[in-house]
Amino acid sequence: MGLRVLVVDDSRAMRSVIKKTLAAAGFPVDECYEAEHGLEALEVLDQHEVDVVLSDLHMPEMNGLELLETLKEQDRVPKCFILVTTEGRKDRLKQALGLGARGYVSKPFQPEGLRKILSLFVGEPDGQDMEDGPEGVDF
Amino acid sequence: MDKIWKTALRESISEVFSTMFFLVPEEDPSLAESMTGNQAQAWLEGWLEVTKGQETVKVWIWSPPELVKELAANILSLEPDNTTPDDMLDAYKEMLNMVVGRLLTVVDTESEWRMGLPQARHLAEGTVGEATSKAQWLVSYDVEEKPFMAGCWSQ
Repeated sequence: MGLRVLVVDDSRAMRSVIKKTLAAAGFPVDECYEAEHGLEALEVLDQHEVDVVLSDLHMPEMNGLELLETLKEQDRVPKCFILVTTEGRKDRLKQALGLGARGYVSKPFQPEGLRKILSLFVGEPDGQDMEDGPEGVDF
Repeated sequence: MDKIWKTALRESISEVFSTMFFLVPEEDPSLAESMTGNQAQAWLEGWLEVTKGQETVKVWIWSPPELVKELAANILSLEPDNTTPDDMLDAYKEMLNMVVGRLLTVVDTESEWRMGLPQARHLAEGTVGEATSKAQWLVSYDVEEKPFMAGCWSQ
């Protein structure tokens, strides 16, 4: 059974890059939902179960931290919630981890960076070998 | 502050172009000097503010539409002629977002700066010279024979 993924980013270009990276890495994706910001993401999560959320932090309407806070309050943070963000502030990233995010990938990213961190939580895609650890699960 | 920010901005531009857009920018200071007039056509302008208390730094980027089309095409895996004006603005804003985010990881060692959301627009023809004059300092690049400029203003 393939993954059900939700990509949350206000940039269509970035959502496209993330989706293509997942496909190129060989992850089996059954469904890939998209949301432009946290409010849209909540609507998607109301209607669909997902295995993985890949979310930006800086977004209009509802940012990634507010999305995590809302999900935490409702006790429904997906098990694999990973940030794909330009945010470099450790306090904000720690706050996100405290709310249930499992790690982060810094933009700009190499496809390998996203593959590695996702592999930790959903397993290796077919024919891929892990090398170094992901960039953002340890502070 | 200027020197550190300028160096970090240069590094950030180089990394974002190469990692996400598969292009190599070559710095060309002569370009900035020639931009004081209004000879350019209808360029695109992107801007993003970062703040720390009462301090504000505004970062701009400017490029002709031909380059922005190429950026959008590369990140969306489309042919340049198949990109829409919205694709161009979206790709340009995301590039600026990554440039400034990467810049802050270098200069903001104390996690004090707050980053705003990127904005972008098409400039009217012939006004890019006026637009670039807002910046207190500029860096300029040749990206596969197309110009790209970035600038900062702080207060």
